[in-house]
Amino acid sequence: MVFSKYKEFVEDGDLVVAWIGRNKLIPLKIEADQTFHNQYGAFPHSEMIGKRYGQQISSTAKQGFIYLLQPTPELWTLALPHRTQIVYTPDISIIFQKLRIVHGTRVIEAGTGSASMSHALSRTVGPSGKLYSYEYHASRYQTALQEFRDHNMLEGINGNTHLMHRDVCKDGFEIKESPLEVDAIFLDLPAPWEAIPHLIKHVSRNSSSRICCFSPCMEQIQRSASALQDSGWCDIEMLEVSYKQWAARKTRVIHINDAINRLKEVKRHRTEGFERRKERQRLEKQLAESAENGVEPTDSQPSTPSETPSKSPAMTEKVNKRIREGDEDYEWSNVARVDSNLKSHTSYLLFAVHLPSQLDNEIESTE
Amino acid sequence: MLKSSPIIQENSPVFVKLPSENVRFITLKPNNTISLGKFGSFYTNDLYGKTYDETFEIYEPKKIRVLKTREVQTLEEEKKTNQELIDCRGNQLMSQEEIDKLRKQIKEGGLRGEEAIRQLTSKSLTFDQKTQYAQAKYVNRKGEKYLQQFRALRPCLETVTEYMLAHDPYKIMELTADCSTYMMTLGNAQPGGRYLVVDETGCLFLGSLLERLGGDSKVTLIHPNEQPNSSCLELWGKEYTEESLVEKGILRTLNWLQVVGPDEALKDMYMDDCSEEQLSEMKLRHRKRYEGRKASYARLQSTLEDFEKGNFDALFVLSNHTPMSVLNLLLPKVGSSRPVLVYSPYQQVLIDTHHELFKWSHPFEMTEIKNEETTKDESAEEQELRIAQDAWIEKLIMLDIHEIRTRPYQVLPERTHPFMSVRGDMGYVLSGLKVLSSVGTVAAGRFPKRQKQGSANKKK
Repeated sequence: MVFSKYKEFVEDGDLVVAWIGRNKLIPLKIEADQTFHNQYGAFPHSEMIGKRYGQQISSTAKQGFIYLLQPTPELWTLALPHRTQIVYTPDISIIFQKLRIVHGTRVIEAGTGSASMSHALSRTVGPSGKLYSYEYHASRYQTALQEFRDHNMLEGINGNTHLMHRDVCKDGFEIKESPLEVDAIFLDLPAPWEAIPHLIKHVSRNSSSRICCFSPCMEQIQRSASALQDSGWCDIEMLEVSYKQWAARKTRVIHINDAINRLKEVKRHRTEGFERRKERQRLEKQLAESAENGVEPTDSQPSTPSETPSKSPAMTEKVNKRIREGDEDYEWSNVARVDSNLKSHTSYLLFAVHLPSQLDNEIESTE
Repeated sequence: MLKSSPIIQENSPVFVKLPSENVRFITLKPNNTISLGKFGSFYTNDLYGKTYDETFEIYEPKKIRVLKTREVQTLEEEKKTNQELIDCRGNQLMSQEEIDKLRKQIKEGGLRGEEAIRQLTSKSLTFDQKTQYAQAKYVNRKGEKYLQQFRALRPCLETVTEYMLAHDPYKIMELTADCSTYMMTLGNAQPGGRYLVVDETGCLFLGSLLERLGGDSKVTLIHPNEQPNSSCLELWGKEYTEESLVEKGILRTLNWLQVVGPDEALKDMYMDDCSEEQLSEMKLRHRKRYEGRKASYARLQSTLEDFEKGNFDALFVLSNHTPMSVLNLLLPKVGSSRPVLVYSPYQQVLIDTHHELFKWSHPFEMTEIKNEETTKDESAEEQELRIAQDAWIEKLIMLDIHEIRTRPYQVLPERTHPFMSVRGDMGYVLSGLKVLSSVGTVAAGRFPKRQKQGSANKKK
């Protein structure tokens, strides 16, 4: 089981995924004498041990908090340290559907990369399935090996995964232990057409096998499709996955009459002000003329200004006032906005099927 | 358990895909003849022992064999254009009678489909003037009518869902395979897990889930009828029937009345035990009925106990009923740090649900806290504050609405482009993660006195 069986309480030595905020997930290896520091403060690991998975933990200064989440491949994909471009969950789920990845499936994966896909595969195929993963880069291989060991994936320690340090394009897929036969193949390589000829030895002999070539460029797709056809694969199809994430938001319900009434008020206010100014100017002129002529002004006082210009509700509302979304004093409508933090293209997904009937043809053509 | 064989056997379920792209579902009962209309017929027995997904050609009436050779088109530089081509009926020189005669010959076995197509192209005035791409398209179109072939596809998430979307999309809430797979992946579905499912898609999702999980897992299905509507399950074969799944302990079912009134439900089903003497005096069929009822009661009791325990690894909701009304009853049964998935064909339904889930909370009895803080001498205020801070509530974080679509492309040399017509894709998924929040905890930058009860952090 990848990471560990679902359990209720955090223990010393566990891997925890800490939720810090929206789109911020950090993996933490729990060690009793360690402390996790972030902008919200200090979080000693000793405070986490014995807490429930899913529980909120405050910083020592009580100035902010995190949630302790139990790791899953999906959370790991969002939290893991990237060594290469990774495969994200939407693509992973479509690939699982097309390659028919279920409990018991035997899968080849090349290259391992940052192992986002590897964790998801190991989890889904389960104890009765197998994952054979190949990585040609020495240091990435070492990092993945350590991760697979820590996350209980390796076959030697109750897992289902074999990790090989190998360039499959040059040296193929064979393993020492036994003849390798699989149901599904995932190629995330710059030149899949170089690896494809090696695969014919490893497709299932008595059932259909499926392959996915994951490539960002159309040229790679076309070249891989050609190589697949030459190798006896059929049902060649390609998919582009488009994924959007929406956030539920609220927008105000405002009738246009509100704006019309406001404009009327502004106009009325301006007109009244204009009238009052005219009146004031008339009186000042009168006073000035009287002073010149030495005559008592007829009006000793300027007429009291009319009542203070009334402020209607439309006027009192500040136009640029910040209104909190959902404020109960206003009317709201539920809407959704697309998340701005999105990838619009990851790669094209090329799929093909190999049938046992094609094996005889292959043998004929290689003889 | 639940691992289907790649070999077609007696009574196997098969999706027969015809050259016209139509798909028929057939259970291969022994000693039967299956007629595929103009595409020919075959004996069910002849498919036993063959591998799924192969193409079978009917090379003589009712005789089938695996089609091995596949034509690969070699391309040359294309110089022709359709500038001079005029489309009209008269381009095909064969008369309707001659074409009907061809069909008859195919059916009787004297003529192969490929040969009929060759005759049609040779009698077409414009065929040679067409570009090689147009020629390939022409031959393919004829193939959809005349070839005596079929594919025998294996039931799985993809084939079953495609079939249902083509035949009865409203029965399955227009659930696409893309949405199903995404929900299962986000839900961390894996062998050995324990899941809670509300499925009103005729159990299309349930079948897909069980296919992924295998027999070691446990799924509890909650449904709105006396018996679950599990019509899609049989498309996976006899191992997936409700009876078989319940028998093996993989599937448990409850209706909503049993969920809200478990004691009543048990009382209704209760039967006093019969003594050995009474049993021996019963007729066989009465005894069988008694034992059946006893077993049903035991099953209901165990299902209700298991449901009461809660702590499910994930909750999947695919329901025509308002999601929040369902979630209010079931969210307390999901474990902490576990995912919740809701499907709807309509985005608006999920937007409204999202807003309500953002506000949702449920008191949690923290029965075991291993790191108890010692209480020192404290004032009444301090004690009140501590008790308030010790109050825990369940809520959901990481609430997102997902839209996942796939765009299929044709990949052919010199002709790579998205397909022109694709079914309009439907469906959205709402996901969230259940957590435990402390009532007294304060987010950085916020002040205690402005906290509303139960909502410590404005961020999701």
